[in-house]
Amino acid sequence: MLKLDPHSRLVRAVDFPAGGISQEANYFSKLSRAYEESGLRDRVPLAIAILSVAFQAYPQWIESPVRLYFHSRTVLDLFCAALVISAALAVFARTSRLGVGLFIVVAAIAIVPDWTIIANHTYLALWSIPVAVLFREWWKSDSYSFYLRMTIGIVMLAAFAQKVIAGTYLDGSYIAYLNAHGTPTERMFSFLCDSSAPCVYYQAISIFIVVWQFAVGILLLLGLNSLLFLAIEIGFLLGAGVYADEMNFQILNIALLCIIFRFGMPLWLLALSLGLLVLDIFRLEAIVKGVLSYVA
Amino acid sequence: MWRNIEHRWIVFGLLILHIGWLANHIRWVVNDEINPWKLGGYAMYTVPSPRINVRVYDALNPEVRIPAKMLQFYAATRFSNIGRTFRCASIPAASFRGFFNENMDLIGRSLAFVFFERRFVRSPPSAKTENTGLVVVTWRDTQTFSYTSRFCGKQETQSGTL
Repeated sequence: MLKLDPHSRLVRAVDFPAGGISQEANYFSKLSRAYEESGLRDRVPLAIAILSVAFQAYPQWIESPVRLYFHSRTVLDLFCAALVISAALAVFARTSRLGVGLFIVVAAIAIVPDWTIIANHTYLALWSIPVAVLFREWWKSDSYSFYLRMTIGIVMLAAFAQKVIAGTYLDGSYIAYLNAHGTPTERMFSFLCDSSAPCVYYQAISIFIVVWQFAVGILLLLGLNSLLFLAIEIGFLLGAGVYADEMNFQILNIALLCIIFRFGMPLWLLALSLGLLVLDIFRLEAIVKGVLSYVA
Repeated sequence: MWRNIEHRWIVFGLLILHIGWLANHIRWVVNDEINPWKLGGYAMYTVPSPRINVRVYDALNPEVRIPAKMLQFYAATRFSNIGRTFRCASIPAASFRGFFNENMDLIGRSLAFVFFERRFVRSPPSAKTENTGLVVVTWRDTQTFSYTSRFCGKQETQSGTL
């Protein structure tokens, strides 16, 4: 029998008749309910945001001779472990603020000194995550979600302005460059044009990206709170992540959007985010090449 | 209540700071002073990543490339300009002290440090490696060196001691 829970943000099916599949569904339903009722769903996005920093930074730390010149491998492992612990602490109501505090300490020691070479992803994390420490219950704070909304909106408009000023998007030349010289995923549109010169399709894709970033920035600043908008933006971010073979930045954005929209992170999105963070270590390029060589 | 008001000021202050940072980043990019992929300005994927690199040559015989260890050269600028993100900035003497500490056999030899990076070419869309800077190191005695840098059209002479 289908039972609708009016207090849930999602329609859930419960009370299945006994049976193998229905028991699993029932188990998942109970897990999902416990996940929501405990408030984990509201706090998990910040943990995922912190984890995205760990997944982004750690592989670079252990491959960088300069990092290994300043810190031993063990110390770098400890920095990464501290980030993972801060993510775990951020999940629970009692320790969430402590988790953010630990993130600030690790960032100050291990990330900020490299401010001239860290990724833009990490900059966004540094502008957004530490501010949560100001609020006793950041996941209930309107001020924090407002701050994140404005921050992402400003970042979208900055990315838009940089692309327009560079001039390499309005004429389609950068997408044409990627289609000729990029990674396998960046060449996914190469079938659209015969030559490597920018054709009308490359120009259209480039202009769409620029207009989309501008529109998202403006809509966020105006306070649009539609879940449909959130769903479309998550879809766009995942698509962009596949194209650029860079999932970390997208997962950070998705996690922050989940806080902004006060939607929390449903279990399926949590599983997807964790899966993509792990996948990002191996790079889609390597996976695509592996599949292609297997097929060939 | 007062705490909420205080938080509101911090939140607005951070947002204004962020806008200022981004505006300044755009100014740096427009003036070609920085690597657009870095410093949190979200200008990545506007041009190919520059992949800034340095090679060392014998200043008296520029055809001869010298294989040298560069770790301490880079490490000396970890807190200020590692990876030459500020592409027009001069090189501190500490970088050369680190370099000669790691390459003692090169002390007393005149060297040319040539800096390269990839620049975007629009037609046809491609990336071309260009020479973007030069530093020539000469020695006054066994301990003191002077170096002339040329970055972004500016020439500067400085000295350092081992």
